[in-house]
Amino acid sequence: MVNFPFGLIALVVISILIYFGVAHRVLDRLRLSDKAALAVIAAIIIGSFIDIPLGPRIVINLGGLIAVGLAGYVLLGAGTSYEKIRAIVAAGVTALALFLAGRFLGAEPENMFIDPLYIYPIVAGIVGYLAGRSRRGAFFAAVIGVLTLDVGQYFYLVRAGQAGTVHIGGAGAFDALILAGILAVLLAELIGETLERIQGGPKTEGRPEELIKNLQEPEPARKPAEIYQVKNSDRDNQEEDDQDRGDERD
Amino acid sequence: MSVIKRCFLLTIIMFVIVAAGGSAMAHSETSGGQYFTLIDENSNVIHMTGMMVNKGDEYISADNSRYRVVEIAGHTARCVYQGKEKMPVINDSPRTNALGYSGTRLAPVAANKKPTIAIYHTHSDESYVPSDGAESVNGKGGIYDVGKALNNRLQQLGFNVQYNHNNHNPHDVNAYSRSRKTAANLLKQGPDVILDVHRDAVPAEQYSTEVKGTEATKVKLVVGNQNPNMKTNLEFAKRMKAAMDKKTPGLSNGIFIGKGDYNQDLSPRAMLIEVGAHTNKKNDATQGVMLFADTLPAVLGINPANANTTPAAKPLSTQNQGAGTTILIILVVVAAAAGGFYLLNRGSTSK
Repeated sequence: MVNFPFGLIALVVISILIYFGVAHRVLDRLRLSDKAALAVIAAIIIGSFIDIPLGPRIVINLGGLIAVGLAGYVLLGAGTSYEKIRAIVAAGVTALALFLAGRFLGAEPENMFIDPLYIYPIVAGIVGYLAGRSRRGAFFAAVIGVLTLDVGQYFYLVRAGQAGTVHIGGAGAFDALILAGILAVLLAELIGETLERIQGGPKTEGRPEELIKNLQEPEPARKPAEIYQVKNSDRDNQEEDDQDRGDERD
Repeated sequence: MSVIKRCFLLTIIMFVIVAAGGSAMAHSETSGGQYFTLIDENSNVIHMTGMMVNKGDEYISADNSRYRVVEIAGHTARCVYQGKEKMPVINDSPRTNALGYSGTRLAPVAANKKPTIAIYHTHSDESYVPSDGAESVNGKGGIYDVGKALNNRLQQLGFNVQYNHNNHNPHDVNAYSRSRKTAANLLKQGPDVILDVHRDAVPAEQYSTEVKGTEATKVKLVVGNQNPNMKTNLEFAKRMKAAMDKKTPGLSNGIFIGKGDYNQDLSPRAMLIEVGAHTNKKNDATQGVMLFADTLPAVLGINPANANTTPAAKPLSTQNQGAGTTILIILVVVAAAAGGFYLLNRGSTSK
């Protein structure tokens, strides 16, 4: 890579920055604080360079391990036990769908309407949303779903008596596992927000008041017209101004 | 809705999603016998490939004609001629021409650093029937002998080679996500080029060639168009093809631009190469891949054997241009997505 011209280096650097930028926003959406999200990303990047052998034929990448740990943490943070069960079911369905796709669809990526790399998050994102209307469900389903594929390969190699090492999360920050998790959250968000928008905004019945307040667009402290009027009011009649504002609100 | 009902519904939906567009499950590179034929407006055969061909795929033929697939009927893909592709200029003697040529800016290669080429095989089973006895040998296909020949030739040329032998079987749609780990690990070594070496699945004559009296197979380059780096990868593929055409005319079997990612999002210098088909003799494939290796110094505009002493040079302009376009596309897509999310998230509740 030392022989890369400047354009290629810029491309690589910008791509990585955007990727981690998006990843940060996604972790933010999983109710991690800004700092925690940054710490997790830093840990995944550093972890990408560390492989931990779990046996003679199976190696786990620390970056991948952190993503799996994060999926577990996210699951624990789910609101209700019902949501947790649904996230686990979603992971199972995702794993099953991906396994069946691998088993029965053709062997080449071009057989499918989109590369398998993007199939994982699409399946997990939709399942995650349907199973729990939950970003956390989507993240968990994607990470665990892809993880089972890696574990599946281990059993395949052992059963077939073939040489080869299984690298769980081996591509670190760029592993299908993490990529699927991030894209699945974005997709669940996209589906969820779009459907809400179509129905005219989130439903408010029976929701806590604080949540509804947060869902609503913040009102500006003062509308531009009011600011203008307040300035004028220094010179003009104060009572008349108040009357105008009252009218506007109606 | 009960949990069981919901699970059932989810599984059904997932099947529909995964199966959508995946109905063409009859073909795979290893299935043998089935392949796609690309024809032009006058029904002349342009190309044959063991890869699944889709509408919108493109092919740059040996004579640099660019075609776009407009219709698929069975295993025939009808193409429309798009014109001659503008190919980069290759300078095969970087040292003597280091002061510049045809408007291409040159820059010195970092001193004391041997250029590195990384090699792996996503499809670990791919084999050559006449030599290996089967088109697929689980986990130890004849493709490894081709990889070994490439590795040895590159080392002879003075390159530092990182050759990963890991087994990515089973040969299914998830093979690329497994080989992604291998590719990512190889990229930690900072290679200048990363090659995923495959073989095709078409009749032998599609790849048979003779170079300087020696039988060999041609080499095809494949670029995935579902990959953010696609423009830059294609620019690099064109450079590789131009180098083959200049140094070993008849070696290139064109560039196929098809659906998929092929792990090319990981590096703008990641390339998938098809060395012969399962119907070719393995020895011809090793000859072909060694001839391909010989063109890499010209591709990179360097002389690896003298990397420590000779200030070599490399071309910048076309790749910088390709990278610039890719950066622009990525930024526009990210901005559009961010804008979309902002619009979706603003507004208020239903009441």
